[in-house]
Amino acid sequence: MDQIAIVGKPNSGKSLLFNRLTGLRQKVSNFPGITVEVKKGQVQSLILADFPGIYTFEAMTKDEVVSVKKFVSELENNNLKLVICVLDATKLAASLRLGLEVQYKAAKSNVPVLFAMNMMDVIDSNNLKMDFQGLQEALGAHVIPVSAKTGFGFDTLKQAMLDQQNVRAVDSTDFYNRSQELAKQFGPQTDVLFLRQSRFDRIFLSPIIGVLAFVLIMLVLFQAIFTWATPFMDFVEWVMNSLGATTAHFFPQGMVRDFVADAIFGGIGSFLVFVPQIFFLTLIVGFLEDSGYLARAAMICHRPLKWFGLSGKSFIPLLTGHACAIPAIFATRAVESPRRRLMTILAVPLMSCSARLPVYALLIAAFIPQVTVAGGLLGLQGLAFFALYLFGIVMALLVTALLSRTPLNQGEDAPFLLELPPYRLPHWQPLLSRSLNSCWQFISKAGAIIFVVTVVVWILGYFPGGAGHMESSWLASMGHWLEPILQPMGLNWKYGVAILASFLAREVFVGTLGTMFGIEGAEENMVGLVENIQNSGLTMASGVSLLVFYVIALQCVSTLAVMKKELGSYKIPTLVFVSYGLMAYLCSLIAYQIFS
Amino acid sequence: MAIEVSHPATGQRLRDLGFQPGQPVTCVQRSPMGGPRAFKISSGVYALDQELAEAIRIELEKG
Repeated sequence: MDQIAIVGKPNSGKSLLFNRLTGLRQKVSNFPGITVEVKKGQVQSLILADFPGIYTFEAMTKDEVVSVKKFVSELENNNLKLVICVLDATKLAASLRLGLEVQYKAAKSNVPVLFAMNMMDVIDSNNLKMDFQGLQEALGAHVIPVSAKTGFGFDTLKQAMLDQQNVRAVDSTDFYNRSQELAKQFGPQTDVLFLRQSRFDRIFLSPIIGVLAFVLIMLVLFQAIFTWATPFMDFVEWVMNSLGATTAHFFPQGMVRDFVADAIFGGIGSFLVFVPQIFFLTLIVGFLEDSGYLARAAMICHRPLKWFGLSGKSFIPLLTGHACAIPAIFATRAVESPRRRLMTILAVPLMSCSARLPVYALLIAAFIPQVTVAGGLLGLQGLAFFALYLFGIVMALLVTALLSRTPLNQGEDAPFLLELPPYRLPHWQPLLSRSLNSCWQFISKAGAIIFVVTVVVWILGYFPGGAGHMESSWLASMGHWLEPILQPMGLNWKYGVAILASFLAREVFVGTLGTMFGIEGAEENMVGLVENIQNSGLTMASGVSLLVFYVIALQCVSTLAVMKKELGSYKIPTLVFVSYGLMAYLCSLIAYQIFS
Repeated sequence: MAIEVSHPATGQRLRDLGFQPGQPVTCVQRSPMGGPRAFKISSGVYALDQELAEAIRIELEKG
């Protein structure tokens, strides 16, 4: 099948164009955040490959290196029928700087280039004029005006993709001066657009209001995850409970019914409740990213983060890390300095990701009273959530501040340089599809692990005694070995088993406890897990020490695997795993002493 | 305008973006706490940290 590459400058609307061409229904193997991997999709009989945005072929950051390398190898191996170069009509000179270089490289491999002049909606709504015919003749290639936002020009673009395009030989390599000339001669006068951008920047980047706006936006973000998602979470929980109750009655009393009720609905159902929170987090982060605000946030954060050994560009991975560490570690590729990138990778696992949410929510519901403080404005449980998130961030900053001042971290550094894109009103379609995609990633990835673990835990806990005899089960005898380690925190063997199982993925903790209490309670397992924990005699101090442990410990096999992939060695992931584990144990011991 | 950056790849990138002799550049915003500053050149607006901004020598224009 013929393959077409889509390339362009960052922020040229490339991904939106790709999604519109492939109809948004394509399985996009990409995580939310910045495009850091090549995405592929299909249009009729063609394969479309979307490459991460680059400025020139002299790659600076890791994401650019990936993009340039892949693109050049596809060209050299004659895998491309056509290259679509996306130009940003509002920044014509800079887009043409890359466009000419793309044309030059493609001509060497005898591949034609087609230019898609994007952002025409902005040009039209500001009554700006440009000369397409002239530009087309000067470039010797088709230039098709489109708007990825409104869909304007896509029929012409699709037709042009099917038609045979000509290869234009390029001899001059003075891409910069040529692009300036062409933009001046044929492009629109875009200073109007800049005026609007600087009006907003005067607010969002001002010394006092800018910082206040930043704090406010972050507060709204976290508030939204907990309040907007609540009705949806209640709904999912209600569906799972009713399904569990109804389904169990279809099976005769005995082993199969116990398995369905304890392992399937008790174990796996308990983590689906958290999908709405992941949805809202990715939706809002996506909105901030598409609107252009995240670049400003990165700029505001640069100075303080630099002190902790990080960079302003670490801000986006750290924010993404609150949804999931895996896309966050990929997003660190945009951090220009290799040593600050390493520090960012070390900080990401300490951000409270959505997999910790089930654990936090369960333990907070069990130990923190549902009362309000400050005259009914703030809930104590909400404050506890906030404190846990903050604790993770503080620990991460401590780790990077210390490590960045040791001789261990002497990698290459690079100065901070970031384009501030114009402010745009985000389009809801790509936002929605990206958020749904990340929910699906969570369900399919975590779901498989959780299923296997809960089934294993159920088998070990059910046999040989059967329902109601877990004390004599295989699981119990294994769990008792762990007791000496857990005694100092006042935890019994059941929590030991749940912690051990959750080293595969944190959400497993809740499912495992659900399964164990289910087997133990035999027939009356419809009692909520929260009440089961409260009745199990666990003290508040033990609850707090468990929470502290879950903030710090790196219990996620996938995160370790991605770290290994990105750093190319087993050494650092292993060290991080062991040291975060020890740190977690130590801190939870201290927490237990303080609260008991 | 002249650029003297210790990190060669960054110097090249700045030139590619349009930080070139003869080009006008405007500082549009200083960020809080001595952080990066935003500069407008013909191709767009870029945030540069202090170290980088200091490496770019410019002449002031009257008016």
